[in-house]
Amino acid sequence: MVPDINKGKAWQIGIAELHVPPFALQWEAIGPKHPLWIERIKLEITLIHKYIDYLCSEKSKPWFYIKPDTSPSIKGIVWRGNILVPAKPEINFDIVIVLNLDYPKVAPRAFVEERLIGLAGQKIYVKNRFPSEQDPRTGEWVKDPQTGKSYVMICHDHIAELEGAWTPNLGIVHFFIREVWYWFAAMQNQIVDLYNQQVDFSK
Amino acid sequence: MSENITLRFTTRVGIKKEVIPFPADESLPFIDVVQEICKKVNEKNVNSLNIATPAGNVLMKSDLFKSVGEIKEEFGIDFEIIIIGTVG
Repeated sequence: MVPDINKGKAWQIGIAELHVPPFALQWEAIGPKHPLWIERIKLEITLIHKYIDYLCSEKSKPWFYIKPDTSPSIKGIVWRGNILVPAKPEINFDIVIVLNLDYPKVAPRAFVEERLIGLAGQKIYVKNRFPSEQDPRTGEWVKDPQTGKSYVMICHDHIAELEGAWTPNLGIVHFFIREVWYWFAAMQNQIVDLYNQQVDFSK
Repeated sequence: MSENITLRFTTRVGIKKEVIPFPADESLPFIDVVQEICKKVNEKNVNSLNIATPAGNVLMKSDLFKSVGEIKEEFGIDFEIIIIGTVG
């Protein structure tokens, strides 16, 4: 699914990212297995707040909510929240961000609730799930115990394809801008159109 | 008398960082601007891209039929071009 359209191209930093600087060098080695991981989580949250402050300063309607899940054995490797269409906040979807134990050397992964398959399926890996287990008898995907939903991974190939799109000095807020927002911005008009069709059809 | 407004468009994906300035009369339909932007970024039509603000708000299809002046009032003058094909 890697588009040739991205060949030889790089991620270009936009206005929003000027408000959320990358992490300092010493934080590049601080991943989920490191004793200072909790301190890194605090910095991640600070950067997310800086991004939200920027959105507020622009009088932009909020389009996401995210916070670390502190229930897994390693705190902060799963982040939960939602994304929504600011002009139509009733169109909103749960999202889960999963960090690999090698984060931040490797980028996070973003999963959205599976009902988005019907709205943005061509840009979703439908077999890459959170939780990743299947019921051996029925083949059905196991549901997340917190929400009762199965989540599917949104396409991440542009992050791997574009030069500089992911580097170890980046964090969750940068991933949110470069992956989650970019994906959602690309798909948003289609999602709204198909969502409206579904609502009309159900009447 | 209508005013001339310079809108600025950028893409997040490219060989280099580029800002496309686009002067337009405030009474011009914004869709006309977007059609010209399509040509500048070598896209066939307006359905192959979305326009968003740097602060994250994506313009709806209905927004494209507003005038340049209305768009400036509601969204400002800086815009991001999201070419759907670059998302993979």
